[in-house]
Amino acid sequence: MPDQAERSAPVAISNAIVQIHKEGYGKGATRARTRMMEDTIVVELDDVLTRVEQTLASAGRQDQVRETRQVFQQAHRDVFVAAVERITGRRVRAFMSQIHFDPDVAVEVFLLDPEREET
Amino acid sequence: MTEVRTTSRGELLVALSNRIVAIYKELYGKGPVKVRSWYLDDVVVCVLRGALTRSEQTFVEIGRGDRVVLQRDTFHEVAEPVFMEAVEELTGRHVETVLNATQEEHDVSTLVFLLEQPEDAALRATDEGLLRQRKQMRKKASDVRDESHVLHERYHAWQLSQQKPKKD
Repeated sequence: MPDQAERSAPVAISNAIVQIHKEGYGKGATRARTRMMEDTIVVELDDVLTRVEQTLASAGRQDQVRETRQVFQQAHRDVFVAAVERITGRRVRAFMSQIHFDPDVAVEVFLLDPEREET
Repeated sequence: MTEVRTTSRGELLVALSNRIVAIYKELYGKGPVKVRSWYLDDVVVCVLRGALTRSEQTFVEIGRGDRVVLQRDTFHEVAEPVFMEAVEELTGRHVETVLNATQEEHDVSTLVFLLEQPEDAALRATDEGLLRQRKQMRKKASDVRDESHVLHERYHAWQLSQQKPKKD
């Protein structure tokens, strides 16, 4: 049975990711769900696109929106990683991010350093 | 003479500024805080201040203002017909082209609409009139051809019906 910290970590990660998006983009996801599977954390975000991104995407300029998002994610990599490391108490060894237009969803994937088994 | 559809030049400029703000709000998600417009001869100039969104401010802060300029350029490319239509509707004149520029560091952009000159408008009206006439003539010629074809078919059918069967 997961303890209190394990139960609350996904919610804390979801909130932290939404908050980073809000601060950086001026708009956070309307729904966020975090799944933690051993050394992998997947954060699923709904309804992340800003109005201008919707306008550009519907005009067929998805590539540019995706590129701009990548620039943002890379520039804020340390902020995302620090939030997850603080909440989980584990080191993040990789952080990946991807966006999808229809439906309007995004995922943030964190790979953690494997936990050392106690001997 | 310039046709102005609002009652005064001042009202037109306010209407232009308001329309620009409304378009940004609707398609960009945020309108500029301040817009000032000028209308001189064949040029409408709008200066927009405080237009950057939160994400654009973030890009400027991290030294990636180039993404702001790129996004704004692409947006204008996409939304150009909407801006042009608004200015045409308010001024009653045809917009030849629209130019935009953004200075992201100072959060200021400009939109410059170049309007068709009156003599060009007259020429275009003539050209459009001639094109319309030509289109009507083509349609008429096509109708006559169709009618002639039907008559020919009927005549052919009548000729066949008049032929007497041959006796063996």
